[in-house]
Amino acid sequence: MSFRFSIRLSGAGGHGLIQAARILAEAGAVYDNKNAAESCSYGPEARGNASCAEIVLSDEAIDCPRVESVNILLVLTQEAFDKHIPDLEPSGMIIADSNIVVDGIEPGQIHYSAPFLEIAKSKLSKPSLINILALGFLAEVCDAIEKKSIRQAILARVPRMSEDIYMSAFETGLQIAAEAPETIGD
Amino acid sequence: MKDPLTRLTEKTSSLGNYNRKYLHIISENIEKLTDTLERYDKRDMVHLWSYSLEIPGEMDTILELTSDYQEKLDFLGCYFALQFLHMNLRLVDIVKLELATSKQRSQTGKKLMLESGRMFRLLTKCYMQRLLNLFLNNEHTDMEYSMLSVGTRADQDDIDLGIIHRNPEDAEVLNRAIGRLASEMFKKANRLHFHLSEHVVENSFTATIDQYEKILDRGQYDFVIVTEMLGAAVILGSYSLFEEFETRITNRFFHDPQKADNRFHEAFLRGILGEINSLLTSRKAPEVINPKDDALRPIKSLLSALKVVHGIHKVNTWNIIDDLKEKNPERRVQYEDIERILSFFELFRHLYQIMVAQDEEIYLQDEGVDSLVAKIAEMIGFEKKGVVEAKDFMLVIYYEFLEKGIKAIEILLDDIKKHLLKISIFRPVFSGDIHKRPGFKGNLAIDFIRTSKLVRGATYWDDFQEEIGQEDNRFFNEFIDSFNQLPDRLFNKVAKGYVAGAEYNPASILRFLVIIGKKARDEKTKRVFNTISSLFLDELGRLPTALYSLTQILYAHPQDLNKFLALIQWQTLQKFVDLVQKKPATPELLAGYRQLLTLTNIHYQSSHFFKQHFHKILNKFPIYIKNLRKNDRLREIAEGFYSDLTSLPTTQERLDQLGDYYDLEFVRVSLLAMEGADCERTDYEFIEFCDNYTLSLYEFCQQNVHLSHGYSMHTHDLFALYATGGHAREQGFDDDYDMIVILDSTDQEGIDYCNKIVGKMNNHIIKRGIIPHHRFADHFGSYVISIRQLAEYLDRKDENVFIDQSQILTSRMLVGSRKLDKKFYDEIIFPKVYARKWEYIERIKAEMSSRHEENSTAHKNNIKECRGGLRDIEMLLLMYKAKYEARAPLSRRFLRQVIELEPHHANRLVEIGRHLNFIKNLRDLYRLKVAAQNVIDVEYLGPIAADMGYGDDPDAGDRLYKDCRERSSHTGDLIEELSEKIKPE
Repeated sequence: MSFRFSIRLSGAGGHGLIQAARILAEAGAVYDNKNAAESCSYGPEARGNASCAEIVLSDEAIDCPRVESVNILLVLTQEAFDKHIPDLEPSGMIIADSNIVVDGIEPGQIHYSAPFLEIAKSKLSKPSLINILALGFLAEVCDAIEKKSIRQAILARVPRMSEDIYMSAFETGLQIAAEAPETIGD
Repeated sequence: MKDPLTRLTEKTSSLGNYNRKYLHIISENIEKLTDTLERYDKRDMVHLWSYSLEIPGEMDTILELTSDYQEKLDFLGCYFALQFLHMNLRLVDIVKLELATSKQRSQTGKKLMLESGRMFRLLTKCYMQRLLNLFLNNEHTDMEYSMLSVGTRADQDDIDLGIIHRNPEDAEVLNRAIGRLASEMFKKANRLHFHLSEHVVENSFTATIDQYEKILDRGQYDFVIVTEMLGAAVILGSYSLFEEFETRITNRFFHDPQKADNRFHEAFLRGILGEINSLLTSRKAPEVINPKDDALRPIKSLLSALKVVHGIHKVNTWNIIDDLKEKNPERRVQYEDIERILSFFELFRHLYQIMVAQDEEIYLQDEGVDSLVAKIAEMIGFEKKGVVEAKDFMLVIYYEFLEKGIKAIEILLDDIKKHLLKISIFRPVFSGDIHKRPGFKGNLAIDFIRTSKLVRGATYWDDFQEEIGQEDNRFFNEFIDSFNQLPDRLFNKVAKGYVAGAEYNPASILRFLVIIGKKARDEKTKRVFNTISSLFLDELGRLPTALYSLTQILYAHPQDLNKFLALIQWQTLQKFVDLVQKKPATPELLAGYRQLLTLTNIHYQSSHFFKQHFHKILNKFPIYIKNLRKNDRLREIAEGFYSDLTSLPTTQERLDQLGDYYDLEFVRVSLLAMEGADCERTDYEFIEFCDNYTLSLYEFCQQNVHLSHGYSMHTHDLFALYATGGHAREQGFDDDYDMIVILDSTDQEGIDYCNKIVGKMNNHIIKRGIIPHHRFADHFGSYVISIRQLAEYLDRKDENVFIDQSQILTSRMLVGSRKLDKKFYDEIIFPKVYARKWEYIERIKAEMSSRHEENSTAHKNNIKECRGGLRDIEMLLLMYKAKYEARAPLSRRFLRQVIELEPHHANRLVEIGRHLNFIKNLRDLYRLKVAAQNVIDVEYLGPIAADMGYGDDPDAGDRLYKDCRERSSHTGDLIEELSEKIKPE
């Protein structure tokens, strides 16, 4: 049976979620041998400070890269949560920063929460690596893309000689996901 | 010997990490591709390990190797990846060679970018064409479509495409094929973007010309898609279809002098001018450079605007510049500057993307990035000289070019603005000609909104604002009247129309509101201003980008934002506060958020006493707003003002700048106090600048009197100016200024001369919002008094003489000689106070006790006059000063001296000192945040309680009040105990 899987990442400018989406899509398409498409907001609306990017993974050709409903929603701001939560699949997964008030989780939806913003500020060498931290978390709780592929895609997208700090942020993400409790809506 | 793949991998390691993707694709497929080529004896027909000049033929050879669909894709992808890496390596070699041998370095960037674009376009075009044929199964050959490149040719990060097709029924097949093309390209080549087509038809990669026409006629377009259309060039497919697209769609945006209505052209210009304005004024982080946003986007946006103004249909940036030089020769200098600047930034960005990362933002301090940027600097011809690195030379050029580029852009922008004024569809609205149209029953407020709908997405409204702001108020009055003629419901509906663009252009709406607000003196203008302001904040409140927009406005137009906050009603300000207090997800990533918060809090939580200086300064020096949280920087600015005073040519200019210095320093020290600095520091800094101000004021007023009266008098060291009261006690934030001015002479001419100086000083001091007090002026009818007059006055038998004695005792000399100060001590302080000190001390004790008895309840909330308040502490110090016949000012330093002199009372005195700081801190904050008065109202103590560490819950103000009362009462007891012990031994 064919599969089609969609991930939406949303937050604010500076969170680097467009780059994160691109890394995920490349991990899926180039290193995991799936079909992948990635899209992000552009045009005048992208001149503001909100950011949103989507990835579609499939084992078949992707005719339409736009996402109507999402399997995984990763949000870093309350605005992003409020805006995108209605699009989450009934059995979808929401990954949210701990600052976000998560209301309205439907029965069957899975919820993870982690202090991404806090950890990015306190534990990473620079706060802008929050996107890589989030990717690490996502890689741990979602098996749609191999961790190894995500690592390869990260290394292929970061500036030379800064690979270590990116990998360290990714590993931190894996680690906090391993310890994060999972909540299922009832 | 190393195998070719290892050699290529090693060579590629000098390029950015993103090339790993291509190595991955090569390593997955190269064995099989080589085997297959050799099996069919075609190995020597295909360049695998070097750059090929026969790419189309070699791709066809590869496709013929196999009939397996997936193998075809893999082989083709592998060949693309090989040629892609060879192309980039070749480009790096060309750059090195070119820059080593070229004498005209400014042309090198242009030449290399053209070559890079040509190579990349050829490679991708051949690849896309063959993929598309595969995905269309080599069928549908009669399908007419055009695949258009709508972005920069050399950009490898992504390829922006627009696709048009002739027959609506082809959409499904074409969409499916292009979807696969995008997916395959993403996997093995480059990302494709389809913003243009997606804008026209949702979830579609392609659209018909009819569909384009429809969205244009509905006004559903913006400057981004128009810029893409204007830059479109055919990559694949039908040229005749593209020509039709140009005729029916793109050409609408070019200026047509034959047409009266150029609304599409105008809409595009209004959008793109707004975009350029916003790019030029956007905040730049100091540690980041971004060649695209810093220079390339504003320049390319400008060129898009210029090409539609001058009717240039070319799409390549360099060709457009060449044509502009011909068509607009009077701006040749600016075009040549832009060409040089573009050449530098394009090449630098391109090399960074190839060699480091495909990011637009370059964090210079990031690990590794610094050395890679250094390498690029050397590659493009910068050399290390002495201790200065090549990279540093390049960065200097980066910023120099940026500055030069902005100047050229501004000149060319002005030309476009003038052109816009000439052709605008708003001309009849601005000029009033619209009224002359037959049967016109219009309303200006509605006319503007209606007309602006024709230019949807426009963000440039400077011309409208200029009309509204005209001094003759012709347009303004009509605009306001027309608004007020509307029935209530329509009034609100039309008002909403003026805030509809808040998402894209909040700065323009805010500026428009400031213009109206500044003129809002009558009720009908206030109604318009208040309604639109409130709606504007409602609209902003709905936008997730509101905080980002506000921080951008604060950066680019600080005075507008400050003025707006000063003009809006309290309820609207409350909305603004609510908006700003929604903490952003990552405040540290939102540059300027903290300044925005500080500015908002100042407007929301500061007294008129503070604001009178604050507004004066911010209107004059908007740079101050950007530094609200950098007190050291503010101090540098103020010190610069002070040091510069004597270099100003006229006395009037010096006096004006001295006033600015006072206001700047007042605001700075106030901010320091509001940020939580201890009052000992703020008092010290306050008095320091006050003394500077007074000394210079005296000097400049003396010069002024000399100039205006034509004579100068020598006062023979007989003149002195003493501060008394709070200033003498080194207490900041007083709103009055007590002075004693002495001229030890009976010469009437000298007295007149000095009175004129003091009179002028008074005029200037009053302008600072401070009331000068001359205690003896009423009695003597003169600001200036002699020592003999003062001595006689203090000899009078009057029960209130102790008040004058206290003034004398508090005094601190600001202007005058030591000789005169000694005489003042010998003839006034000693004989008139110290010689009768026990009598004086008893009078003070009596005053304290009568004040406490008579006014025990009246003064309970007065932190100066209450028992244990500031007055009591001052009185206690005066008694000690008299007892020890001390000459030091009545400050904290004197209290410390008393502790040494009275070691047996040290504990009590230390406690009093602590209370002095507590109550002084409370008084300062109350003055700066609530009102400049000594009577505190518990209702307003909340924010002060939070600042003083009492928490921010609703009861915090009450706790502070209670604590203050208890502390004051306890201090009152201590003062009573101590004063009883001050008596002759």
